[in-house]
Amino acid sequence: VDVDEPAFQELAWPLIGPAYRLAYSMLRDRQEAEDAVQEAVLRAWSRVGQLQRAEAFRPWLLAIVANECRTVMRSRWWSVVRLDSPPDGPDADAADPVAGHLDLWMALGRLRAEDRSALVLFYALDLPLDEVAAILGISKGAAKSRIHRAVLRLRPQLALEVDV
Amino acid sequence: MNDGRLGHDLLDLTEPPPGLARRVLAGLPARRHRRRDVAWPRRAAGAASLLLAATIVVALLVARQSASARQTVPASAPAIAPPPASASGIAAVTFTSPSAGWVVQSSGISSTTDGGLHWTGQPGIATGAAVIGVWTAPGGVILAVTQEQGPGQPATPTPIFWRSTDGGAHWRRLVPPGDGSTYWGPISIRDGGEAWLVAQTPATEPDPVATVLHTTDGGQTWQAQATFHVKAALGPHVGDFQGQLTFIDSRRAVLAPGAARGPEFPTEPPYVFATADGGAHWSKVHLPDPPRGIDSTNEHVALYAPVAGGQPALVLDGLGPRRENLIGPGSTPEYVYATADGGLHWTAPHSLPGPAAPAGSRRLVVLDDAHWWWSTGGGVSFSADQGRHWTARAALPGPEQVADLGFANAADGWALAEIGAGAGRLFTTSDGGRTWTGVTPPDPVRAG
Repeated sequence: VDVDEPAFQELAWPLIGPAYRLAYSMLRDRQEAEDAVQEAVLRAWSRVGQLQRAEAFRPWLLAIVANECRTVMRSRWWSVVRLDSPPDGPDADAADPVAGHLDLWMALGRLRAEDRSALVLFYALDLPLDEVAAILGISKGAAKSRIHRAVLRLRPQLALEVDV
Repeated sequence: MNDGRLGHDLLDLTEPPPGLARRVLAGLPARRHRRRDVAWPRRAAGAASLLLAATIVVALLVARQSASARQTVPASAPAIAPPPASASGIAAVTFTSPSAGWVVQSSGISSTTDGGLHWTGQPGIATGAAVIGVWTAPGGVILAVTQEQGPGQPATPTPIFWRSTDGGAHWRRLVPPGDGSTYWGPISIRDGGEAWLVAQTPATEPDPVATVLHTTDGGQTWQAQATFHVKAALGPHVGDFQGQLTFIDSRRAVLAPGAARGPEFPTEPPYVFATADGGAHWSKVHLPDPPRGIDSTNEHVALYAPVAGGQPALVLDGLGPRRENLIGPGSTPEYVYATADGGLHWTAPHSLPGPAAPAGSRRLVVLDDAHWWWSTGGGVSFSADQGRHWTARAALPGPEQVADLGFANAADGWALAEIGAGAGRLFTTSDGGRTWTGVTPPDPVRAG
């Protein structure tokens, strides 16, 4: 795909929000998530010529975001995330619209970042399973079981069927 | 249809900040990097291309063994074809020689004894995103370290040490001492035998106490080395002992106090903590003379541990006025600090060579005080004087960014280049980074 900057911006603009949701779910830090999205978009811009089809831009960009988040996590293996009082969690700002989801926030914190990313991609962004798999670099079956396991860990009371 | 309520809640939790797209896209450099006219095997994706790549790798391995003189790869002229991309994300790599290496993927750990021509997969350890790394020790010991967090466990992931004494065929799972209320702090791993980590009483307590644990047998047994009161040691605003930690020996260590944000973790000009008594007491050490115009804070300090003795190093991301995240190419200079006394004093900063690259693709390797490598973008530079002077060594073939770089000794090293979709390419060197050879990464490990 050979695009100029305006065309790239047109492709990327609607995906910045989803990219941030993915990054924030993995990193659980707003500033790091924004930084990761910006890094990923820069990488995508420098490599968009390697992309074969414009239709694949969404999973391609989100895969770069996920990879960037993994890089960030590798550099902070032992940072402490305090679930009882997360420094950048939903209770950090009383005006934050997510303040009412503290239980879910804490429960998500007990999942691995890869599991959180799968949940956000599938449930929040409503992406099809094959696209979730492509973004996470795993098979469709592995994506399905990862989502299923994550939901069971997140909400044991839910008996969830994942439609393929 | 996907679960609507969960999806709605997740959307609430991950709401992007206003103006995000505008800010992100405004940071694009005016012109994209020129695409190099290289025919990648990934594009061809056919059996013939893979066979050709494998043939080239074999030929290069043979040629490398028989060559009497090493050829330096010019920075802009790839000398070899890149290896095929890995099918799944590589979480950790280590090579002890050009032939012997280990790769940890989300599916398991693989080892090679012939420079990547053949890989043996072992699914016996639980991996995933939380792989810290893989280390070796004398006697054939391999140590893979992960962190694990499950329902009901405390906030901080538990470090798990996976130990093998038969080259990776069988693994033992070792959990450091601690109970359900233990908060785990940073870890410092020297090799497959020796490591330190910090365990802490819950940070919600008024006076949390941390204990430095030390192992010399690859995590089989741990001894308490020192204890300290966290708030007294790190200041009243820091509730957790966290960040990047490296022990130089059993008494001297440096802590870069991490990237936590928020009002309870105030930022200030760049600093680290250092101890000279095994961790019982910590001194706050501000880095000298930040370059003019740089407004970085303690959040922007990265600590690099020596691999084979000597002193650690610090790298400071040089951010501009108002701490803008200037991450575009050429916009974020970086500086390195050296120490001669275990981190109690640091040299004036020295500039690190370009080209500038995204933060995730910059790596410093400190083997000892006379062997430092710096990678930015695809280039690798070398310093023999703790970062005062740098010499360009080579560039990895292709436009990839180096995601990981490591050296087992002054000659043998490896590089992991990410291609942006959870996949990576592997390279090894046996001449200190002057020439690099592509290694075919393993397929994902399949459970038996």
